[in-house]
Amino acid sequence: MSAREAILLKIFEVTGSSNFGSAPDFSIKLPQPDYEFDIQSNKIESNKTDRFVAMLAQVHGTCEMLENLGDVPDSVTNYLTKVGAELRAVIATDEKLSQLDWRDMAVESRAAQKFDRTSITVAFAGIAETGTIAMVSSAQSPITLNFLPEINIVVLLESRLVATMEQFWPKIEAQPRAINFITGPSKTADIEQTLVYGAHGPRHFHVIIVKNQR
Amino acid sequence: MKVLSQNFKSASKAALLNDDLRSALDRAEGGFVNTRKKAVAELRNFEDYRTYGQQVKDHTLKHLGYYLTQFENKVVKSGGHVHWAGNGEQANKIILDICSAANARKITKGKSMVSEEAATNKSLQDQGYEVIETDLGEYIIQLAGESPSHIIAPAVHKSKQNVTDLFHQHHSRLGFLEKVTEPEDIVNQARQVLRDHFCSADVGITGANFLVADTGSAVIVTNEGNGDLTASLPGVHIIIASIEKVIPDLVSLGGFLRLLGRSATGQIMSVYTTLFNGPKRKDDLDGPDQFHVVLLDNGRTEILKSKYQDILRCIRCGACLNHCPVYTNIGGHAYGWVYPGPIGSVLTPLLVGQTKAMHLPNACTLNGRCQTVCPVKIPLPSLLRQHRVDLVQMGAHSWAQKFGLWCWYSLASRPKWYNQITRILVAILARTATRGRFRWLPLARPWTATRDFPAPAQSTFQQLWKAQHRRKT
Amino acid sequence: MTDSDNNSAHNVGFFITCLADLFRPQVGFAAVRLIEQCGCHVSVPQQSCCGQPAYNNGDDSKTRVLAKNLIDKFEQFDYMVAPSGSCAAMVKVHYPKLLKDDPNWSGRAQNLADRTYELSQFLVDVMRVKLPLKLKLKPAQFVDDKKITYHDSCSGLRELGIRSQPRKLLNQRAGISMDEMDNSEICCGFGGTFCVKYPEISTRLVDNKISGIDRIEADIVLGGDLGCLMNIAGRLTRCGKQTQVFHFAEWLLDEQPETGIAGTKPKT
Repeated sequence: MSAREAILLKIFEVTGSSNFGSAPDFSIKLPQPDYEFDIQSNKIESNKTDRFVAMLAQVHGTCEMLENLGDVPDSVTNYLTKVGAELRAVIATDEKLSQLDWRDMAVESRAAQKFDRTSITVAFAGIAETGTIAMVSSAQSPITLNFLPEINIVVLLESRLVATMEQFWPKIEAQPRAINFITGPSKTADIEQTLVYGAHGPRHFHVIIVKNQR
Repeated sequence: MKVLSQNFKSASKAALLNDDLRSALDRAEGGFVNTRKKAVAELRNFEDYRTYGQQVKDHTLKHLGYYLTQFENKVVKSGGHVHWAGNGEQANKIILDICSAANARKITKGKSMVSEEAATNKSLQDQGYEVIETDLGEYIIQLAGESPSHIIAPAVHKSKQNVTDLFHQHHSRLGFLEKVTEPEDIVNQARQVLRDHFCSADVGITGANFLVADTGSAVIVTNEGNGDLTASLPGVHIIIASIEKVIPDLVSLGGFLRLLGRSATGQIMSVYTTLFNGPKRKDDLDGPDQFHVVLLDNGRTEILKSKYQDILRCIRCGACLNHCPVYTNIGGHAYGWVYPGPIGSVLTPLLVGQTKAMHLPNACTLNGRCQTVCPVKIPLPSLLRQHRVDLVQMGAHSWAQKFGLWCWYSLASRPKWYNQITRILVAILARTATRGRFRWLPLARPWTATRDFPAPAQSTFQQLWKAQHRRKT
Repeated sequence: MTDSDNNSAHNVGFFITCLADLFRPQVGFAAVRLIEQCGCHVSVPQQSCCGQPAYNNGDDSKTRVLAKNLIDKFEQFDYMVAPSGSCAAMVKVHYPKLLKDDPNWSGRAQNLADRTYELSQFLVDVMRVKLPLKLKLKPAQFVDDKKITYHDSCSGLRELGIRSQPRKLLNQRAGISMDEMDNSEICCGFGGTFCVKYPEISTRLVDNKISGIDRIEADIVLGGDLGCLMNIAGRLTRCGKQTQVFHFAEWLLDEQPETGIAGTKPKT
């Protein structure tokens, strides 16, 4: 008997196997999260953005609001200058980014490599509840860009902001290879409970929220 | 991992005398308890989520066979492989075979408690593989040759100085000649050393916090990002997870994520939560070519059958450790196996044998604080007491203890005798005490070694009450 | 006379509990007077132990014998009241579980459990609902300059939800102001036989408790469970400290108690 059979057999001794194969009735209802901050009500759209920005700030992420997608390169240049980084970045192989005018910067579209300093990606969605960026892996969105560089800049279209994780799931049509929820820069408190940013992943996590996809 | 739980008494005594450990534990307890409290208060219906977590886990366990096979089908559909292992040895064999087929040499590892159960590192190292733990805490204890002392903060017992010395000892041959003493510099050095390993590893092994049946997703939650680098850079990603990690669907995952971060580290959401759904796709620019999930039983099906089924709801957040007065004073190593604290005291006897680990469920005051913070409402005190019931039925206790209990019982079960004899005892004790207390009493050394024993009054309450009552009537 | 003249006067079976019976009878008398002041009639049937030591050590068969003895003695009353959270919880929470498979006893166990209360719970939660609480408390004397704190025993706190009740009672007394320890809800290390099975850990826990007491420089520690209180008092005197420890019921009477548990005298 294989280990698989042995394990399932033991399980069925307890649970019974009569209904095996047919989906059990799973009707336990997930509670709606109840926060002081009202993010459920979609009537107040700005609430979502406010909450997102506030939550991101709590976890040491930074944020900038832009009117147009076309303003992104200038904003990135300013940000990198401010943090004292070289004007060079790996950008996601995403049209939204590659079509932009990066004249002040050296950019390359590819997956990340060991010593890349800065990456720029496009968020699949943002989750206001927790200040989380959701990345969905694809040929246009290599997963390593989220983890290897020291500075991770994420472009989030405001229209892609949802209130809660429950509102996020339906946006996924087919399961991608990986979904990364990112909530702030990489950190550790393993040395005497002292919070240190940039453990293995990005030290700086900067989100640029863009109102219009122009 | 070798079982040392039978040495709990001496190990806990030694731990109490270790001042470094004490300051480390004090620091950790304060941090964990306060941050959890804040994060829990922020979600006003957190209690509803606890109930939800409990119900969903119970539902999943009730239909475990269905959900496991559903998960398996989905993983296979997305191009991954699912392996089933009855015990740690089988799991290690599966992992060795995968590594050998991949011609691997170097293996990076994310934090995985089940791989500690299975002693996977040792089995790999014995076959000549280089294994590198990548969670900073795990990396530190790997350098120190120790085991984790906390479920989510494995090196919580280590001081900054300890780490400074360890890094100096192990990293100078890599060119890091100066001692690093500040947390930022320590972390930075680990980042540089481990970066090389991440990028040169052939296989990455991680655990999983949840397995989502409906989508075949293995979910890994970290703050450092080490899990994602381990999973994404090498050509082979192996996930080892015990069978009770499965949950029904993505919606329920949302519920558990709200519980996990808050309960574990007091975070609204951990930094990185990743769902892995199989190997690299055709057009992907990165990701592993092979994706394996090892589903490990290692005693879970036996627990499922037993009175201890509730413990399988555990999501390994560590809140019960952080709130346990015993754990926070003796630390994790005294428990002598993989899982310390209340969860360990329930789980260890079930996985390594009740008599071997009989101290663990007994070394608890049944104060119940753990149960009030458990995100899936595991009745930990009741389960600890259940172990004691089993131990009595097995006759596992010492003769002295059995005799003591028998003496007390013989008296307590006969109220008349009890009243007579206690009257006499009380009268004698009251007369022999000085200043209302004893510094020493025969047979009471465990108490009187460190505490005075309060003397009784001259007469018992029942005696006095009877006398008053007789006078009245 | 009080409301006990009403023909609806409640009959209360008073469960003294072993430690109060043997070590601190004045707790029993204080408790009885408080219950009587609520207009109840109090009886004390001949009794021994609720079985907690056997239960917590996993000896269910011995515990069942003691549980049945106790149910037998106390089910005749309207209420059973005990000056201890852990003993009350034993009857209220654990008896029904212990006897649930015994058809002759499960109903009786549940029935008694439903009518069992810890003292402060009974006075505040039960009596206030049915009767106005007439404790006729005089202002406390000689406590103006004393710092009083309260230790929440684990069983009462977590199994019965006792937290505000003793504080409400104590606050009804003019002159008593409570100072809270930051670790009032953390175990003192008594834990029944735990304290002698693992004395080193137990001692560390009671030392932590005493650090909490010292941080607020309390003169008096009150609590609702004699096990914890004897443990705290015994360690305090061994460490040469003058902090006094009492059961809270002793502080609700007109006469101030003078000698604390383990024979301590008021600081001069």
